[in-house]
Amino acid sequence: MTIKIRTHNISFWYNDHQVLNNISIEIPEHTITAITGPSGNGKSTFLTVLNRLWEEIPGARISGLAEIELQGNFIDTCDPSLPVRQLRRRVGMVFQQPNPLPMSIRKNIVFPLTIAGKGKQKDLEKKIRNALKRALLWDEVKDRLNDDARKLSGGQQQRLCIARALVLEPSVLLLDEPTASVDPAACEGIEQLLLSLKANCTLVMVTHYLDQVRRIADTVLTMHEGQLFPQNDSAETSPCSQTEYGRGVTEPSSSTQSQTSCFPPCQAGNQKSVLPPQETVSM
Amino acid sequence: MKPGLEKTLISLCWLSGFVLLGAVIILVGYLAYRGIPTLNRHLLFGDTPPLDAMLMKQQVFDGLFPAIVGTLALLAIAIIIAVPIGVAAGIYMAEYGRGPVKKLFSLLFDILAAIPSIVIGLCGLTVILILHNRFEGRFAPCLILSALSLAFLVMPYLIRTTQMALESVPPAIRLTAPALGSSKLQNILLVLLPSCLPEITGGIILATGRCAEDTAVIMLTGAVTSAGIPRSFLDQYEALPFYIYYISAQYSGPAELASGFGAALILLVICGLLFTLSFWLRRRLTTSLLYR
Repeated sequence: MTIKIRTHNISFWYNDHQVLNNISIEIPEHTITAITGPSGNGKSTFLTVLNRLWEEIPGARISGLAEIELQGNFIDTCDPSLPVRQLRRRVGMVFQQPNPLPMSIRKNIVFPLTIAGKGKQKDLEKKIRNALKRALLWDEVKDRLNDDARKLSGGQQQRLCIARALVLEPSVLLLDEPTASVDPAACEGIEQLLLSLKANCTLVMVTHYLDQVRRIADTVLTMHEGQLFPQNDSAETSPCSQTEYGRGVTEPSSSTQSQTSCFPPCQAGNQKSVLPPQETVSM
Repeated sequence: MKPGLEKTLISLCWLSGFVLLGAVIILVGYLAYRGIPTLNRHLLFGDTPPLDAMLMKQQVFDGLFPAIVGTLALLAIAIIIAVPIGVAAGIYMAEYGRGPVKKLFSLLFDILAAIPSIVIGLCGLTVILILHNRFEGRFAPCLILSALSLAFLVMPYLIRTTQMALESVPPAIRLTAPALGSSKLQNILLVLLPSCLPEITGGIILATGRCAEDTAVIMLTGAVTSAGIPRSFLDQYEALPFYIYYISAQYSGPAELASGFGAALILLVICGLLFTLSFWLRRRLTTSLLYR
């Protein structure tokens, strides 16, 4: 499998507080990688490493390598000489809370193109339509594209945010608990959407929902005290495997069986053996 | 909280609202009662034909028309100077200022906000005297120096309003544009400022009202009782607030006092129209910037 993202000894600090500790992983392309773990252990921070959004946070600093394959070459996202704006256009991000910009639905979709200098292209309407269709939102909003995006429902807003991230056709999409603030029906729609995006995109998703992990993730990683561990059946090799998160994926509960019926559950074979956190994990 | 205490507090809140509302109704009502009978062509243009006055073919010597034009010109120049500088300084404070430099600027802006208008007027007068001596009598109290002094008077409002509005943008919105590949300037211009438009427009409205009512600054820097319509930035001018102040202090009879009430009513109407225009502009700007 072709590797899309690889990190080597990534450590991260907010001022003096270390959040990530020597993370080395590899993520294959065209997969959904789920990162689970207790709150405050660095999951979201790890996502910001991949698109260098951490730079926007005062007091943040990083060491190590975080490389993403873009157009055949691995580029180090931590390299200060790397044009960060171009990187973020190739590595999209969707946040936990739906964050439509305070403007119309159309302007939300056009916004990334405008700031990339592509806001006056002839096929703009086609791009808007395609992005909304890919996000399974077109039929619901096609007659009110000039309405305030904040008037959409929570699930619609989140799909709009995904459409906005997709309009630049990123090759990696980072999702920080994308279904945390939406109802179950919207959650199902978003999961379907994420599965459909896998063909063109590599997805890295932070989530607390272990049922969701079973339904859509190809690979599961657990963040524990700033270190990432792959999920597997061995309870001994990962210090967090005894936690709720460690048990959650490897011990399917009867309640999840009915929910997984409409989506194929994550195969145990997808989850490889654990290596010490300092070493590269190949999946 | 005890139910009785809660009811008392709520009643006090309602009472305060009604007291304020009552005061406004009484003030505006009295002004209208005294001012409306005086509103006629003579109050505005005196004996000069209105068309000639408006086309500046003839001077108006005993009407309020030059004072209305002077007030509008003063407001326009002061706001044109104050808004870009005030908003830019607010953006600096919220988005770029860091550490001790930001603290120093913050202190300076607070001091500027606390300076009484008469002191700003005296500073303006000092500048005029320096320029007068330096350029051998070519500078005297005039429209542009009054407008500059007023701009300094209202700038702290604009700086603080812009700064607070920008700082109150939720982090989720603040990080959205950078995550999509925007530069910091694009984020400020395309997302943050349009998001803060209602608050910033509110600040501009307050600043306009402050400029319109201030007398202390302009009486020291260029306003006079009889100057006609100013034909350049360096001319002296008439202004409604100064006229009202002058009449209330030195009126010689009931007719003159009545014209003062008329001037006050006209000033109130001008402010009302400007506020309405600001609200309309805000709506149009919001629509065109964010929803089209």
